[in-house]
Amino acid sequence: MARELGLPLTKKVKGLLDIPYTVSFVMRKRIQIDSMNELPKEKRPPDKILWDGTSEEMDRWFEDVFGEASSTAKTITIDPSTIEG
Amino acid sequence: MIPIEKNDVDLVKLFNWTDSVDVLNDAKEKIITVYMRLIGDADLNRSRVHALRRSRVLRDKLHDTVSDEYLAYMMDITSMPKSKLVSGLCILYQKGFVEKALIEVAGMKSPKAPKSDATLGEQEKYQQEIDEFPKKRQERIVEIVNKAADKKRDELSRKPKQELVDIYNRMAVDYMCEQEMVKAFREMCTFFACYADPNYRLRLYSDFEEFINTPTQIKEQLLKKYQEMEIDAETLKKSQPATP
Repeated sequence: MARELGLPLTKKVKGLLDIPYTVSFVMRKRIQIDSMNELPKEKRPPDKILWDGTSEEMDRWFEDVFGEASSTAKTITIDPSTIEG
Repeated sequence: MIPIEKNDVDLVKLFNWTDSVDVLNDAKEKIITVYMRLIGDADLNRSRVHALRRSRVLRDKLHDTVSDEYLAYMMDITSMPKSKLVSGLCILYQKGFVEKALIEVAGMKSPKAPKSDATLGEQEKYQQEIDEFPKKRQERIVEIVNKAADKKRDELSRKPKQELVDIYNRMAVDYMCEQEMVKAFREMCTFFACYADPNYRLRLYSDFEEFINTPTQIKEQLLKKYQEMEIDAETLKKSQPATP
């Protein structure tokens, strides 16, 4: 797990259940931040939502950012009479 | 969230999640060595559920006018002067004001970091601004809280007394339940954290009842030790692996 995440863990951890919630929090947050960093800067949630917001606020942010794009998607209409052959 | 100041990030505590405590008796003699570790997500969630149940039980009792808890904790405030009632309510509202202020100051812009090739003078200036930032933030919080308290005091003063009594009773119940929830949560976390061996394989207590029935003096030492090992949420957010 440490190798996959690129995070240092210690020999004190024998299994997943041994991971204290503090380390678990930091790992999950790191993964979340890395995922957000893959998005274009303007689509990333602001720090206020990322660190202190609720999951509903985060969902709303993504709905606002990505929902708009899907609702304004262009539709292409093909007129059969223009098809050759 | 408190702005992250990279210079005060301390990664060491994150990896010190185990420790031992010598439990002492009245004569300050060692009774037993207890091995403690920070609990994992599963036990944390169990503690949260337990705490919510205990809070719920207390809430029901505080609404039951013939229960021991109601008679012990619910003050008869109907004869209290209105001005004292308003002051008491303002104290109960204080926590909410602080929480709102913290959200508001989260938008305060922290000093802008200088470029990587900044001169020594620019770096010094930035460090000075960073060092002064917590004080500015604190002052802003106090300002927001005081403003909110004054506004609430005016608003409450205009309400009829019976309405104030109802608000007070509701808030007092909420406050006591919150205290109960925190207490129950800490107890359950500490119960899960205690081991009898240094390899953290043998639980010190076979069940929660046994922990609860432990003499208060011993229980307090264990609760205190566990609290020392914990890292508060704001400090956790500063942990380097979590910060970009």
